[in-house]
Amino acid sequence: MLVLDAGNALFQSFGAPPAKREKDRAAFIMATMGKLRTRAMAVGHRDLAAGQGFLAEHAKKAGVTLLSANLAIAGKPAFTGSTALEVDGHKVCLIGLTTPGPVPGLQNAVAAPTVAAAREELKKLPQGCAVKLVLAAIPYADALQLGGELKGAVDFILQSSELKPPIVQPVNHNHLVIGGERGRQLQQLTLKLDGAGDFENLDEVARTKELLAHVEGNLKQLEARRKAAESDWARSQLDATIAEMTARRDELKRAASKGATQGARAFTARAVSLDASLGDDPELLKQLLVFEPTGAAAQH
Amino acid sequence: MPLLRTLLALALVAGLPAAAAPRELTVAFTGDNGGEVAPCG
Repeated sequence: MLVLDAGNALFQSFGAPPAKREKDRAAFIMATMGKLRTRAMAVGHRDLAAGQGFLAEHAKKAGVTLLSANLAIAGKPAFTGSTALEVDGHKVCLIGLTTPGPVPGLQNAVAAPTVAAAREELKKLPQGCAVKLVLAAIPYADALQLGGELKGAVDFILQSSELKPPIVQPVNHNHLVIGGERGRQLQQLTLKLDGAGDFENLDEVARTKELLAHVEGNLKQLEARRKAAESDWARSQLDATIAEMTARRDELKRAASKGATQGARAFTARAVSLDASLGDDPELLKQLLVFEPTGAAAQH
Repeated sequence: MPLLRTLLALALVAGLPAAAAPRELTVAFTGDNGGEVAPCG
């Protein structure tokens, strides 16, 4: 299994130098990400609150690779733009992106527009990537535009959430996946790598098939009612409804058969809620209570 | 506590690929924790 982070993990605010307590807390988060075997993360504005040096130092200690293909500090690339990881025998290619524009509170730090930066970085990826992922610490609208422009050059854009719930959205021969809001969820993708071409969302195929079964059931009921109808008016009303529903059934049938293409790569997604049902790790809980004595974060 | 639960969630999902086909890969990712170490609200 490959564990990643889409960025904006470390600081609650940015734009002003963080206090020691906030830096200790960020260091604890990064160290814990290392324990979780997080292999790479995109660099978000919230990760840079204590500067590039702080972030790089703690990521190195934790064994987490930092990625940003578009962030420059004093005109020079601030981090590696991409990497290729071997995971369970598969070559997974990753590109990181940061919200374009100046980074608040960090002098001379500017992130370039994402689409051009991603296109350049794609050229640097090695041959034979089983899957191409973008770790996107960028706003939803930018991620959507990125997916639209890059088309099938990437497979998934894993976006840092901006308080949005976990979402899987087809864009343009790729999918935009949102990780979930403020540590409340974790997204799990199971990728079926046999085959070629665009990844198909098997959850969508399953939902379409369920809907198809439901519509077919309704059609049967309507046809039975049509047979039993006693007036011309009732029959004409039912005929109209049956015609509409038949068209809907045919549309769903087409979608269901299209979604199960033989030889296509495919995936399923599952949002894991990080709630009380999962319990706590006693050792980690002890450390966490230093930073959050009540066991719950402040309202925001 | 999200981080702790993340650990446990990863342990839960880690077992899944074992029974899966060889050409399958599980990717788990978080986003925008915003420095939170515990649930808000």
